[in-house]
Amino acid sequence: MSKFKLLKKEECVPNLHKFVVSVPDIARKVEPGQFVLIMVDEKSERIPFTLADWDEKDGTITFFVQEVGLSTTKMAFMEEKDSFYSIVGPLGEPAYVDNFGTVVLGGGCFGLGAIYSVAKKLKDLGNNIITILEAKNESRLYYEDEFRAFSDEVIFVTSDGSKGEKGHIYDVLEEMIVSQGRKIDHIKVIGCNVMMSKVSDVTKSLGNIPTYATVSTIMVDGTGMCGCCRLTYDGKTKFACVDGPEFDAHKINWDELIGIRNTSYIREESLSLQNFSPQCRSLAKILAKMNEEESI
Amino acid sequence: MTKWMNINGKRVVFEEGETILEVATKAGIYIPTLCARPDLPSIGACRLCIVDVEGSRTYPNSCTLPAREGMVVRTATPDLQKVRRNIFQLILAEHPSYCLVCKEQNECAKLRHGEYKAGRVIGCYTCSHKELCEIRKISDYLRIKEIRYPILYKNLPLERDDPFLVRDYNLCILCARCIRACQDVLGYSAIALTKRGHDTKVGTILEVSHLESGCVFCGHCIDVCPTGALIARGSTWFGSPDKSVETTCLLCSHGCQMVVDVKWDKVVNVHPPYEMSARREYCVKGRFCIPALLNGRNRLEYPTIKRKVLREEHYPVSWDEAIKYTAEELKKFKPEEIGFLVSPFLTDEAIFLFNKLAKEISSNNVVYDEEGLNDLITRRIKVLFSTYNSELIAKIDSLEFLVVQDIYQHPNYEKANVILPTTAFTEEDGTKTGEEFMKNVIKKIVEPPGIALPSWSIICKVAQAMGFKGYIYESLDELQDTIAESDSLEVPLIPKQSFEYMGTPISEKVNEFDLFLNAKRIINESKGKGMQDVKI
Repeated sequence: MSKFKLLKKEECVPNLHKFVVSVPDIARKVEPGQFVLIMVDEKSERIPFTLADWDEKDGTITFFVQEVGLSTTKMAFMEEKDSFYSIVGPLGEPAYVDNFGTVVLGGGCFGLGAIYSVAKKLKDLGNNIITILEAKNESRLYYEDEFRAFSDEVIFVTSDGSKGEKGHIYDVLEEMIVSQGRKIDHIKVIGCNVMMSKVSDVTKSLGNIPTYATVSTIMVDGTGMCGCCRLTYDGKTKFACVDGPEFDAHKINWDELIGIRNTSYIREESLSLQNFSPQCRSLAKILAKMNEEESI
Repeated sequence: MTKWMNINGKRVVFEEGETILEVATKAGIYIPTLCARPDLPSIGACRLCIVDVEGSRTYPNSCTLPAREGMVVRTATPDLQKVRRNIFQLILAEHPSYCLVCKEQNECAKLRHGEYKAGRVIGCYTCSHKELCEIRKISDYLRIKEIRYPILYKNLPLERDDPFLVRDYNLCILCARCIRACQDVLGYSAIALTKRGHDTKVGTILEVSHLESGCVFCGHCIDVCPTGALIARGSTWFGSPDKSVETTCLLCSHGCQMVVDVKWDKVVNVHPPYEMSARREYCVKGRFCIPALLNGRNRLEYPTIKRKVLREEHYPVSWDEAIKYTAEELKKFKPEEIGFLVSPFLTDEAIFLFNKLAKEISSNNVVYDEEGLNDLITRRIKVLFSTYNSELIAKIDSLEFLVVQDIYQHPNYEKANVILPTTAFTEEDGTKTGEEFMKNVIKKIVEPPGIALPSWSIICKVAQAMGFKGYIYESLDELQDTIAESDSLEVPLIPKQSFEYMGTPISEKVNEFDLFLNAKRIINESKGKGMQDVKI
């Protein structure tokens, strides 16, 4: 099956892999902020990935995978020219974009890549873009040059202060708004839920600056049937797959999302790793070496 | 003559040859260390255990300094702690320790619990070893709030090409505990410090894979590692266990004592007790295969009886029904037509009861292995009570009634009239005679799947239903008392090289063990040893 062929794979920073896959149909239709659902093999989970980039001409899509569990490990073990079992997309609503004025884009971990397509679109619409990239350490920052091309200002922030500011995205935001008195019209964040909830808290307290977050939830079908991706938004139940994935961060019940929804299956997730074995590459290497020796 | 020395103003007694660290630990005085361990020879690698010795120009390592009569030692003067903090920060600079100085630390631990279960470790929040990490303990002790040096990530690739082991040497602090356990204590020398200077790294000689380097996959390197650099692929990532219970491994008669970690009422990890971590040699079966072997997806949960409704199929029934049916059918046959195939993996109690029952129905057809089963086949038995999965079972033509008792469903059991689910050795209490007549304790650690029962209680039920007296035991203790009073029991031994449990091949349930065996066989062949069997 060569339908969803992996064209390029690289580990751009530790534990984070960039995948370029050939899916012409998705590349033709996708809009910034939409995602795809991927199955690595017949028995894998279905995992949503926000697309970072795509090329309509070549028919390729680009996304970032952070290794966190069984299926993402399987993805990390893939090699170029391997194929995925299935890719469904584009799913979800496109990101809410407009000519806002000054827009702050915040990205952390896998969100650094995911926010890239939104940045491009916002730039096209004539916004003044400030990008804040967060990581634990400078070795975790990537996509620097790409962001510089599309933003008016790029700010780095690391937990240990090894590059740029020391702290977190919300520290930088707070400083920008409170100390420097800058006017920010719109904020978009993509990253882990914990980071987004913190940013949401800060922007709410600083005068309700419109903040949009792209939530990461467990997903199965991606068309609103299974209800795995449910979250409480403004007191109502919403499905991240069809109503999102981008939501007004101030209206999301973050405690429920982080504390209950995303930790529901930790037991199954951990136990599934008990009998996981990727193909033994050592053996493959030994066999290759033996063949080589024989041919000599 | 007792010898005395002075540590922190306290007079302590010591014996000739003890190091300051040992004397202090015995006296209850804490000296931080990352490389010393009671069961390993000291090399003084981390230099955190420095002490202030009166009359000495420098701060010597307490782990390598022998105690002398009348020595005056202080372990935590302000100067010492300052130096220690500095040394420790240098260690942290080469370890992904950003989380130790992150202000979100506590919140993160609460919110991000269990989120990350794979890949390279990029901070404490993604580390599987977090709860046991010795670096974090010492960081707390030294109250590290910031790291003065830039943190350098070595960016080494994750080494996970071998079965069972995942090695992330970005976390390694070069304490050489793994090397000392492998080389000095166990004598395998599968790993060593390779390269020099800043590039120094734990690895195999000539960078060959662990499969070729002479590694026996005993997992002791994992047990002694103070960081999360070495982990077992399958049995990690569960956070802190709900409970840890010491029991005996029953995969062979060696009788290794092991600690079983339990989380969510499942066996998640098996490791040696701390004090034996580097002393006792574990085999790859016991160290790595037990969780996957016992938590397989198709464990038998309910007794089933073969019945013809639309076509002949196995239908789940209650225990009472299954036992009644078995007993009634057994009574229809002559004693010499009934055979018992007893698995050597059963507990002593079960084996005793099997023998007792056989004696009472005056059948002397109790066999323990395939050789014995062949013997039974030649005697043309009509009934077989089997607790052991053997290919031969399906081939017995004379069989009219087959009862099997097992933990897994097998294709061989198509023919069985009754299938009884039993417990694995982590799910029942009991004793097991091992090598050298050692009686080992087996403990119930997790609940059995479904309504599976221990073997001894199944046999009691069958015997009672058949109308025999004396099979009512209120508790296991009562049964054990009976065994103690009766003649000594001959229990068949399980060789270390048996790669099965109750007739279930380990490689069938544990994928990585299959990989291990295949790889070892190919390596043996390539070295001209032929297809000889893999030794573990």
